[in-house]
Amino acid sequence: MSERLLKEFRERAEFLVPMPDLHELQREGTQRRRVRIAAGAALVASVLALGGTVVATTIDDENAIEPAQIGPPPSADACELVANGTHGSVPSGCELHAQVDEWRYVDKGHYFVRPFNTDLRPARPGDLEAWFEIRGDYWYWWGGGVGKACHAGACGGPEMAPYIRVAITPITGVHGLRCQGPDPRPVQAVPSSPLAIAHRLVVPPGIDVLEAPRSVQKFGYDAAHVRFTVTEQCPSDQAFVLWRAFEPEDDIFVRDDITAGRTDADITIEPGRRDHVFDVWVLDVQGEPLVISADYPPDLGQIKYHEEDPARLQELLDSIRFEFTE
Amino acid sequence: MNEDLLSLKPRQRAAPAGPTLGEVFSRSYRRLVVQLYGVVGDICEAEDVVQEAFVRATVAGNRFLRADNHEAWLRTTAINLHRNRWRKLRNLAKIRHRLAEPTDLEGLDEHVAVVSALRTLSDAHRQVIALYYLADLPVAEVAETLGCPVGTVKSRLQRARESLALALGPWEGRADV
Repeated sequence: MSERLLKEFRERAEFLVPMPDLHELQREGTQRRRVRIAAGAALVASVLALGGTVVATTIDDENAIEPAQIGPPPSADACELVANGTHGSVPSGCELHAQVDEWRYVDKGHYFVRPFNTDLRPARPGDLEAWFEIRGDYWYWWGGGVGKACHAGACGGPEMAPYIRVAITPITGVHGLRCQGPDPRPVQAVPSSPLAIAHRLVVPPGIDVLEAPRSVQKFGYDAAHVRFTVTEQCPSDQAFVLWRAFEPEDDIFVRDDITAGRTDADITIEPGRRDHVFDVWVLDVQGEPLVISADYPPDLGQIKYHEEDPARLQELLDSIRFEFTE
Repeated sequence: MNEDLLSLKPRQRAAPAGPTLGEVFSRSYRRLVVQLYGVVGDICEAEDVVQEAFVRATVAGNRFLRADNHEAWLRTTAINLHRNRWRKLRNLAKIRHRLAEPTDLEGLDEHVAVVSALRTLSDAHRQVIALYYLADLPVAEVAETLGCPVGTVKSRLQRARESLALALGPWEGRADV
């Protein structure tokens, strides 16, 4: 009887629900995309106008690599990310937007992302900025970091399988169930320390730990490092989830087939092979957990890939510095 | 160029072949609002999270249109939005009774008894009832959506049915309900 009442209620209620204007919702969605872009452009313009040398000073410390010449400040238009990511590239000095799914090449030079700015609002004092330097060609921004899918000729677009991927993301949750289908799942709370988080990330099954979690000092903060491979072969319609990066639903996960498993989130790592190495550092940045991850094939640098790739990847990781917006 | 490099050739992004956002909106909006009304017990909150889910679908663009099940994508997003909001408000739990009374859908008339009965259930029980009966999801999908084991959903469903029957008891035999 209760079932009948519920179904009658459903039919009646559906009839009564007023329909809002879809165009209003679409306008708001479109506006949010524009705000992301405008905020980044405005910040870059103001930073460069104020100092002109901010980029250089961010990497000027004991083990920094030589800062690149970034030339004249990029214009707002030059920094704008467009929907079709296969044309042109983002100039040095621009902000790259966390959680933005546009796929764009990045020129050689310096870039920054505000990884905790998941609302993509205009910058305000105290925002964490992660700066890094790209020294090679064919690197691209993928929404959570930079990657490289090829090293010569026509390098295609966002559906290419990258062989190097660097992530700089928050970690807002961990997963109990690793193989997941298309829909995002609720997550478990992250442990309180970087070392505990690193241990949690490699809880079996499905993970082969190459270097056990250990406490280190990295990127100027207390951190924990762990190196592993993902050995689990999930069913073809699922992907292996590593961590929740952005709320409410974007996870970092591994899949072999671009069409398999999760299709809602662009933040994917698809090594296409079981022996991909994941180097993961978990940082405590003033109480906020952050993950920097690099994944690459164990034979990186051999003829199959570009011989300079290992050096470029190392340089990129060494160049990562954190600043706070004043 | 060797075979390995050939294997790295670009994959073409498949053009979304499914419905447009407008078609999904026409087909699913009302249904989702009623489902979320059942889940959250407040029509304003239900409309708000479902509309926010459509805004996020717009932001996601092709990412959303490539999803296998658009309604499931929107439902999960809306439920997560509600959960996140509620988590942020958990510190206000002690003053919940002082907050505004939940709002109902205008024109429900006698069916408002069902909403009232749903509100007597715990959050966990209300969620499984709403997803099972209002969204017509099988138990496995309810479990998937809520991120809990199938067995848990089954037991909650059983207890929720009993509680709901109790709450709806005075109404069960009435012809006008």
